[in-house]
Amino acid sequence: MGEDVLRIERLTKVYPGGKRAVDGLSLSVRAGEIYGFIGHNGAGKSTTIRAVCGVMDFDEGTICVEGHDIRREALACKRRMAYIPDNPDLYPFMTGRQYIALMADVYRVNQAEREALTARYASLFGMQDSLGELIGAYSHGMKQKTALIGALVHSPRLMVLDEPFVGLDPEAAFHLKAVMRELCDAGGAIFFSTHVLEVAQKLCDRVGILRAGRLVTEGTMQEIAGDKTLEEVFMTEAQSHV
Amino acid sequence: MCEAFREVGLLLRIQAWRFCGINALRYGHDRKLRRQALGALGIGLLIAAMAVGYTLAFSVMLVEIGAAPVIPYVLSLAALGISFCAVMAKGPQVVFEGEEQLRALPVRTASIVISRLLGVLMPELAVALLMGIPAAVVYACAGAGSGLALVIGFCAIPAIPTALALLLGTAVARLTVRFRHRAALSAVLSVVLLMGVMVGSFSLSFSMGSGRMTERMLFLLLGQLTQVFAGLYPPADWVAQAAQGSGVAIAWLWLSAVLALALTTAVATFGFSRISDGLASGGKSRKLRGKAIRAASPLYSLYKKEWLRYTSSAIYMMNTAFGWVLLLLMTGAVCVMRMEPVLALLGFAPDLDVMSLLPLAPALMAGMSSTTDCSISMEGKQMEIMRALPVSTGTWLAAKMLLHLTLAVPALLLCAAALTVKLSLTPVQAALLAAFPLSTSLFCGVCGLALNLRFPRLSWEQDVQAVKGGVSVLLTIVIGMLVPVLTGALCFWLKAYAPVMAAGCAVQLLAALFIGGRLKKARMP
Repeated sequence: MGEDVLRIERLTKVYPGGKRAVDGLSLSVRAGEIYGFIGHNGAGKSTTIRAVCGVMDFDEGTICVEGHDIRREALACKRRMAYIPDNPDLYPFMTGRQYIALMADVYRVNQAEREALTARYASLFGMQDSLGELIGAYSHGMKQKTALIGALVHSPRLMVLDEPFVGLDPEAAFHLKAVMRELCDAGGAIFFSTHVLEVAQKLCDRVGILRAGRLVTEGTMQEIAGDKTLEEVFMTEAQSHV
Repeated sequence: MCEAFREVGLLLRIQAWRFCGINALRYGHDRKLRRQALGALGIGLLIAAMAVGYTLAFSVMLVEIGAAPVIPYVLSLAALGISFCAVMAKGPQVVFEGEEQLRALPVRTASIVISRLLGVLMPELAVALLMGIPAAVVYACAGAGSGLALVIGFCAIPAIPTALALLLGTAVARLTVRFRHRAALSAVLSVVLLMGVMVGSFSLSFSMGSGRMTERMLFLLLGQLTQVFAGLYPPADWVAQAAQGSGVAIAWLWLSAVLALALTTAVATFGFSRISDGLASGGKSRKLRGKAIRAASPLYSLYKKEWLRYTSSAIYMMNTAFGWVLLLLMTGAVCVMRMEPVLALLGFAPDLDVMSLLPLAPALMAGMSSTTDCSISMEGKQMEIMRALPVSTGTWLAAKMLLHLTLAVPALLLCAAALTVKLSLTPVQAALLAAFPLSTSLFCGVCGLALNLRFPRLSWEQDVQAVKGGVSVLLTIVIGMLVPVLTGALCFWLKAYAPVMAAGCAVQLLAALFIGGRLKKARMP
């Protein structure tokens, strides 16, 4: 594994009303690494992810993407990453193709590259016949696939995904895993949250378990699970904090 | 029957919770949201006070010139116009909203329709009463008739335009839903229908009046004036008769209102599922051809996105393009009409320097036709996409401003060019006719952006909530109205038309530049 692509230090986010969603969280994701972020509902996964992507402000701590601080150099950070939210609310008044073109324009992807990558990923996710339709007519899975193509069209260094497998059909989920690995093999990094522990166990190089906004366990599968399954480790962690 | 009332009551309660975010205000902990809601309430009260003040002043003016009997007619027509336009724009969306969760409940379809229809009618009734009560007080004090009877009659006025506009609006939405540019088509059809209703009413009034209408008719006898109004909208005549104590007129008024609502309820209940599903599905699914899209700069790409959003929302288009359409129609009318009757209609003295004041009219339209005041709110749930993209706030806002200018500049320049030729304006007058409205449009556009950035309304379920319900929209319209009014007042006061206009241009441009500079450094909401 290479240098840190994402570094989070002492991240704290307190919501109005006083709820401490993330509390002093520190972690790093290295180049070539798939980092799985797991935890209960309300553990602070989505809050952390939204803070990493610069879509939500936070109270304390720092977040750096390839050395660029998300608060001071937001645009430099964002140019290096792609973000897929758990429920991609894409522009319903655009066609899939228009949406992908918008992403490519914003990230300044040249004509040849955007056409090649769009064709490749559209074919991979079975979207080649649907990109001309309005996104408003898409199913959840189709929106997810369109968001993925839009994210992959600029070959990001860091990909941040919130529950990326929800709503995807088995074939698309299989291809997404392959694409995630491919991106890491090319020197990129993946930071994603999931509730599907089997996926995390098979796919991730490292896993972090979050509970009440704090990182309770982190490491490679071998380090945190040993001979046990991730599900058993997760349940043990859950019981120990009841 | 009792069960049906209970259902309607329950469903109305859901609407009341949603109304103006009252429930979110009551139970939410977000201080910013509370401040925004309280601000909206304050502005709502201010506008209500302005409406009351305006109606009072207008009614007193009518009494002063001895035209007190005209009050019921004028107010009925105003309430008719407001209700018709508002319901035409938002009614079908509100009444036929899919909401599967609600439709899965064991409640009658008629209860859903009635509760939603009442939800649409209530605000119109509130507006009608805001105008009706002060007018009734003046009317009664002038001894023209019974104020109470006038209010009772006036309460029935919004029902008929609400019912009619809902049916017409639904027909337009259903007709246009299968088209690619359905929002644009819907907006155009709605405007055409609205104009059609107005022209039809006028034609009706001609045929009911004393023969051919002349330009001076409006200034003739009071009897003829009331005849024209009665011809425009017969229920207005019933309101006037009701105010004179006619029980039959009140009965007719309420009977027609109840019948109109009952008929609309029956039609909407009968076709609810089909209409609702039809509006939601967008008609027959049709594959759009996937053209290769060429690479463009981020600004141009975001500008294209703004266009797509603009043309995808009928209410957004109607709300902002109507002013420009009206401006062009007025320009056309001035170009084909003689100016003397127009000046007479406006009540100006012939020796007044109207040509120098001309820029105020397009400036008023420009001030009230800003696309920017709700453009940030229109991002809605998709705001998250923009926050995550490597796009600066300046570029993002510039794309929105470009859309605004794309609509404003051609309309204003066309108006200025046509009027310059038609009215043989001097070079200074012509330059001000172009420059003053353009600077107002620029200033109001930037103000709209700044206010919408300060008061964004991103959590909406129907675009009408973002387009009509935002604090920024109300404030921008107020600013847009104040700029020409204050400039006009200064012109009168200082008796220096051109210098005041030129100074107004300069002040607005400088203010726009200053606010624009601040906006570049702002953060996305």
